[in-house]
Amino acid sequence: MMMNNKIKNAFDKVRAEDELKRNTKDFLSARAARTVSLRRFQRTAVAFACLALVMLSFGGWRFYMTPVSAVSIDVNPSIELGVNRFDRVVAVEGYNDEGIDLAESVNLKNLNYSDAIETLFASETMQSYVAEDGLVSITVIGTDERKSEEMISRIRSCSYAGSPDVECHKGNRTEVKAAHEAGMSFGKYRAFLEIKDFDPEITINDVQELTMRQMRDRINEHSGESNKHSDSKGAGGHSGNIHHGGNEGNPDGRQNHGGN
Amino acid sequence: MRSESEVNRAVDLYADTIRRVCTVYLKNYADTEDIFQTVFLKYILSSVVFESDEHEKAWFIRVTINSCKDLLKSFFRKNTVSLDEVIPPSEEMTEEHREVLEAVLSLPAKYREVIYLHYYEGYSGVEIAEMLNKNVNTIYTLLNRAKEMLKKVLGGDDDE
Repeated sequence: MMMNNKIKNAFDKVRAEDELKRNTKDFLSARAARTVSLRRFQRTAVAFACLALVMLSFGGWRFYMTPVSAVSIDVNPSIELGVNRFDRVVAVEGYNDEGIDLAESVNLKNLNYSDAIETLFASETMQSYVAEDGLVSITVIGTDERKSEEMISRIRSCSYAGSPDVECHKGNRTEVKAAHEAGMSFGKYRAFLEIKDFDPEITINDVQELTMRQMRDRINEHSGESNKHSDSKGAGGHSGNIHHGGNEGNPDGRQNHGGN
Repeated sequence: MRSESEVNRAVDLYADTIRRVCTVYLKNYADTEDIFQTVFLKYILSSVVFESDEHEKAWFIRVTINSCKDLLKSFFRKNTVSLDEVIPPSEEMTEEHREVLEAVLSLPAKYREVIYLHYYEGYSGVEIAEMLNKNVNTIYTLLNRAKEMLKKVLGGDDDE
């Protein structure tokens, strides 16, 4: 017999044992079932992962969008910048008509708060108010004392904030809340409280339309009355801008300053 | 993933071929069982579309050869046993068949595989070269040497 036939015949007799086939089929069927359940598990896991991702993104977005500090800027337009944990402006709110117009005219969102202040002061609208009425009050409400200090020092280093007509203050949350309830920005509310110290009858409506310059002048005026000739801060330098006017309905002779 | 009926069909159709390839490469039954599981699992998970039965058969042979070689390289594979255990017991197997198989299986692995693929499966030198990823001339050299070796053991005529 030829060798190739011998080899062919011999190998022909090699057959897979029935047991081997059976075991293999059993193994494969068990494995397939496991693969199916694994795939089902994977699908569920992927769905959960997607959900978690969506929730995380939403959470992250909320985290980013939540203001933790605020910078209140008052000339006559009163505008307040909500600043998030990353020092980015996430909210801009105007507290009077001029403030609302100003907030709409300049895009300050997502800027670092010091850049936002630079941008705001560089804007034409803001420039016109500053030129008209001079005094700018910037109030910072930080998460804590240290943060407020840091924010004030950064704001002071801005080119516009270096001017003597810019006042920087720190505020606290309780006062900010009261200011917002009164419908005022914090800087203005703070000035209102100062005036109220001298003139307890004054109401929020009386000061609503006043510029910061006018309010500062009133404070200086009152402090000048109570402490004659005392050299209160900034009193002399800005007196030339005061617009006095008679106020018949005001028994204590309080000056009614001309509004814009 | 292929269906259970597809897999069962493949097991029935190719189990004998895979068993023969395992006989050529492996030295014990436990390893053969491992290879069966590995090869058919690959088949289940594979998305290859076979153009013909020959194509499918060649795929099984190639995957089995590769799986056997991988297993032989593995550190944890089982110890080798005597040839008696390698050759599956069968009622049809005569003493002569057993002798031939033992002669083939006693050859070094590189000769065994070409002898099996050429004489039993009927693949040409070119096809074997492609399957084993070797040079065609190398395959012819191996075939000639293997033939010489077998002739010495088995005697008999040349095939060509």
